[in-house]
Amino acid sequence: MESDLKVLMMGGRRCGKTSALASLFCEARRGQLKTVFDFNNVTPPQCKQEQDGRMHEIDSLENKRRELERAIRDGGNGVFLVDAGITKNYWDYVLRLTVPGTNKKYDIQFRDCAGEVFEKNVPTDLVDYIKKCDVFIIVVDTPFLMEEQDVENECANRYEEISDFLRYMDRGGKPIQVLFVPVKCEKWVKDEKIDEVCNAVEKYHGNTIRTLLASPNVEVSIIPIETAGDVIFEEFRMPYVLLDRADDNKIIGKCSKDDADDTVVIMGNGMPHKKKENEYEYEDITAVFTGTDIVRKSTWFSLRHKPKAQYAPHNCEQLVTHILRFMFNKRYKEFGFLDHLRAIFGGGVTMDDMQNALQEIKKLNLIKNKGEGIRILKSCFLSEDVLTKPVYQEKNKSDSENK
Amino acid sequence: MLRYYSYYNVGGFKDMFLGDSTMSAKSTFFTPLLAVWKRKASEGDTSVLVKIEAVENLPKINLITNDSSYGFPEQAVTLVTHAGYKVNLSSLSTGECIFSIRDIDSNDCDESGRAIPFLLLVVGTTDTDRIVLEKLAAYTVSHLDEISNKFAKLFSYNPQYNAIEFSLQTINKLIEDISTQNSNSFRTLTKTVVVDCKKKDIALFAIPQGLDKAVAIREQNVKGKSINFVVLSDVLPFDNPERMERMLAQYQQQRESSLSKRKFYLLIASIITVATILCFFLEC
Repeated sequence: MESDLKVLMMGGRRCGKTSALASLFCEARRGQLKTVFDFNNVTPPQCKQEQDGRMHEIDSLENKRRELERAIRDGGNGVFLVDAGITKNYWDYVLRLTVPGTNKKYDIQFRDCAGEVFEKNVPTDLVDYIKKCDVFIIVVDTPFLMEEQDVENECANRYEEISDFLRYMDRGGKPIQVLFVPVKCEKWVKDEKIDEVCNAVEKYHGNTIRTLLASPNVEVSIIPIETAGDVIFEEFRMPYVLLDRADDNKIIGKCSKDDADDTVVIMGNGMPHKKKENEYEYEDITAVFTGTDIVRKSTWFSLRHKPKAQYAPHNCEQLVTHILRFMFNKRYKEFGFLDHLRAIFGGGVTMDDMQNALQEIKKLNLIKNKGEGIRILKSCFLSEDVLTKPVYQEKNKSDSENK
Repeated sequence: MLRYYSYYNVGGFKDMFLGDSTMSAKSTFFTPLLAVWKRKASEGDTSVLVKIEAVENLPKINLITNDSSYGFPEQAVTLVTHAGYKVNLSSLSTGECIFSIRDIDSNDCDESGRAIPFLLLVVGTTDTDRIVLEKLAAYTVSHLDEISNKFAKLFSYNPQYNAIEFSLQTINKLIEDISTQNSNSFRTLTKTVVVDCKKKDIALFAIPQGLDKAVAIREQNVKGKSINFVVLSDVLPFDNPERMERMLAQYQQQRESSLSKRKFYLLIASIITVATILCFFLEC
């Protein structure tokens, strides 16, 4: 069955798209929003990695979140690398909202694209999805945004390619929401420099934002989130791998050089390692931005010590609340005869349900419109807690009345 | 001429043109650091000159980009971007044939110890190539573990050049051996399946157990095409005699059980029929 809302996750390779999505799902199901709706991950079975000729479950979003939680729990006193593992193509996930005590539901489909997708021409089936898409979540890798030179920043965050993808967006009048989501920004939050992050997002995504702001049916916001909480960006270092000559040049692990001591390397878990006679470090061939002569430096993080680091995502629920508010106002605009029928015969969310949800969200102060870096650059709808038609439609209506 | 492509992970999955069967080189190499060293050399870093000299003239693995497809058929893109099959042999409207096998575990693992899967494609352009690929496809499904292991070993890390090496010589020999020693058919539990590109648009569409045909067709966007479907769990694995024996024994058991059930129902039906006739005559 076609979902009620389509969302596309966009961003460069390893920028944090899946982590952001995992945190979004987790906060929807366990955060305060659960008093407003029941949230469930109802992702249908998809074709996945097969082993021994049999189907296997994909790595769920919950596994991704646990990966992060484990890294914090097991992380030592040092600085460590966050996993630079693999992704494939794109995966679709479905988050179902149900009005508590009823069978009335809304399905939101999230398409999580591998960053590699943004290194090529837009694939045809993705073009079709973009045209039908209602919400675009553009994830920004904050360390590259703030600390790296323009070239590395552009390679990591793919500003031009994302702008290219958004050309296929439907500008034909249906409301669309675009959320720019800086992640890995714990350091800047703690240094109270999150506004600088948002200014940088507006600068580097400037062309895209200007085009979006010029489209009357597009709502644009910046919502920085912390997917882990106490994992803080430390620095970039040149990437190496440690090999063992005695073991057929087997790769022992990723590392960086110790600037003070040639005989020592810093391994991925942050521990210094004195090289044995048969061990040597080599430039990491996996660390070159595809098709460029630029090395992608390794991003090293540290855990907060005092108080002890906890898995504490922050503002991830804001993605859900902003999307919900947009979704309900959009549905209100589109609520037609079939929706009334669905509502009468069961299964469909009514306008009253949507209105109640919005007011409950406001009453519980669940939605933030500003502060902590959150910026609404342009809104389609007039009010935050009352269902309204889109502003641009009201304006068009009053213009024609005045004529 | 056979052309070899892969969707392989080196710092992210990349579409690669690995080479073709006419090349004299034993191996081709993926050297992403070469561009970095050249840039450093142009900036005055002389320490990289030795490295550049060592790899500059190596036969290259090329990345397929927006500008350079290296002959990769556009119609075959879905085989790379979407799942829904394990082994596939398709005929294209260009006259080419393309063999693909996906989710082969490479010999590399990521930091979490997970095997990194990759995909291999072979494109054939002539009638001779077509016959070779039919035999390759038939052999692959009936020797899946063996072929997967052999394909995995085609890629290796070469520390001398700090590059990924693909062994052209090995794959050429492997395919030649398969095509000279085997046919284009394989056995399942119930029949012999012939892989023939002239009879079907998709001469072989092998799906894993548990995958619905309709999902596979949708995933690969091949609705309306003539397809030779096979479920891998039905294929007799000649590279694993123990598993084959178990499959045959299980199949035999199921058949016997089904046969004895039929006999039983037949007996009951006969008894009921005889009893009915007797009652009728007695009534009369």
